[in-house]
Amino acid sequence: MPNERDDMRLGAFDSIQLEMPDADHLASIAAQMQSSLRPVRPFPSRPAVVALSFLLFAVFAVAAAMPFGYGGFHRFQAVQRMLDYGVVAVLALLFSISLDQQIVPGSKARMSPSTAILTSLAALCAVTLLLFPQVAMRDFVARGVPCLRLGLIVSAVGGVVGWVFARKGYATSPARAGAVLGSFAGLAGVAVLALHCAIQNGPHVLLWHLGTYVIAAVTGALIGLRRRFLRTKTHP
Amino acid sequence: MKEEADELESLMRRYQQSDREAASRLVESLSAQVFRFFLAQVRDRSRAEDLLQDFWLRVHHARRTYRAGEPVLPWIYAIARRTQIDDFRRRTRVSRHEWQSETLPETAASAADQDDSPALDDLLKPLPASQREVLILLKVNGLSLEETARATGTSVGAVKQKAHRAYNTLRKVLGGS
Repeated sequence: MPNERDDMRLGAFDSIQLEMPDADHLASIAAQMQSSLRPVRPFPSRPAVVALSFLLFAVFAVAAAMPFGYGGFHRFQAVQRMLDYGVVAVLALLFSISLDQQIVPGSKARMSPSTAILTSLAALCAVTLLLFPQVAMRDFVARGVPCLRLGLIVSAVGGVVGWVFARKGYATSPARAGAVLGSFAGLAGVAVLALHCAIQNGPHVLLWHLGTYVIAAVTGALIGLRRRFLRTKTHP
Repeated sequence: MKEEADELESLMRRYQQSDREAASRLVESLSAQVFRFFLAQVRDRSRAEDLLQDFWLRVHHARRTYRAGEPVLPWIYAIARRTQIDDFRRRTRVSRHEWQSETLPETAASAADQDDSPALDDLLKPLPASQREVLILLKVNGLSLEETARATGTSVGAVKQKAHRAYNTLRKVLGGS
């Protein structure tokens, strides 16, 4: 910490130290709080919230892919499964930590949401470039649109599930919380497509699968800006 | 300091368990400093009191999100900060609307005129909102760097940087006056 404390003329800050709120006003606030007081169950510990959201993500992704089949999973080789699903799992863990940070006021900032979102996008792009051949594909759009549609539907449903979960907390920055939630839901869409889609083509995965992630992240942030969506559930 | 923090933590836990006395004591022990946090930013006593009421309502609704063992003050100031930001946005929307309907909007200057300590106002005026907020948390409310970082949802490094920039700006302003 620089030694500005001593060399600046900050006496102006002292003047405000004498300011006190009106005692009657405080009494009325306390009475208002006491009149609607009932016991609440404290929020679970950080590891419990992180584990719960990670588990929710995994169960949701596997369950959501079930009606459409696990074509992608069966088509993948062992190394591809390990790398692709491994990266998605690590990112899901990252977003679980980030979501906890966003819905519990005063949490220690371990990683900014924008860093988490961009790092995840970079990791997904890198693993796609590494695992899938970069060749032109016939019917690129016709075969891509159904993937994007499925990814967005899954993301939307995942976003609603996440929103219900997040409302149990208190988002001190709804836009950031929305972006994290949207990205997390987008990652669920990417996970479902990785389980379902058997097309092993780099450009296809980059555009149509990861497009889900980008659209969901932006949508989440925009919804978060409409702050009321992430306002905490009341516990009078 | 440590005893004070432990006491606050104990009050928060009891408040979560619907202890009426703990609720009352929390309001007593924290209102003055939170009020100063609002007053330093809005420079209008009645507005700061409105913010304080809104803040406690939010604390009441969000009380389950406090985790035992975590420091209370960053949790409190994170909610206070949100209250102030929401109020600022609401007022901006309202004043824009009033402007459109050809009614004079309430200006910051008129609020400042009512206040009897313009020195702080002058001091904070040249600073961007984020730097002003960090300076108030550190200097008016006496939070540590770590607590300020938690309350503002940023890292300690970012808080240090904002404080440093704020001091540089103030040094220029004071040097020139």
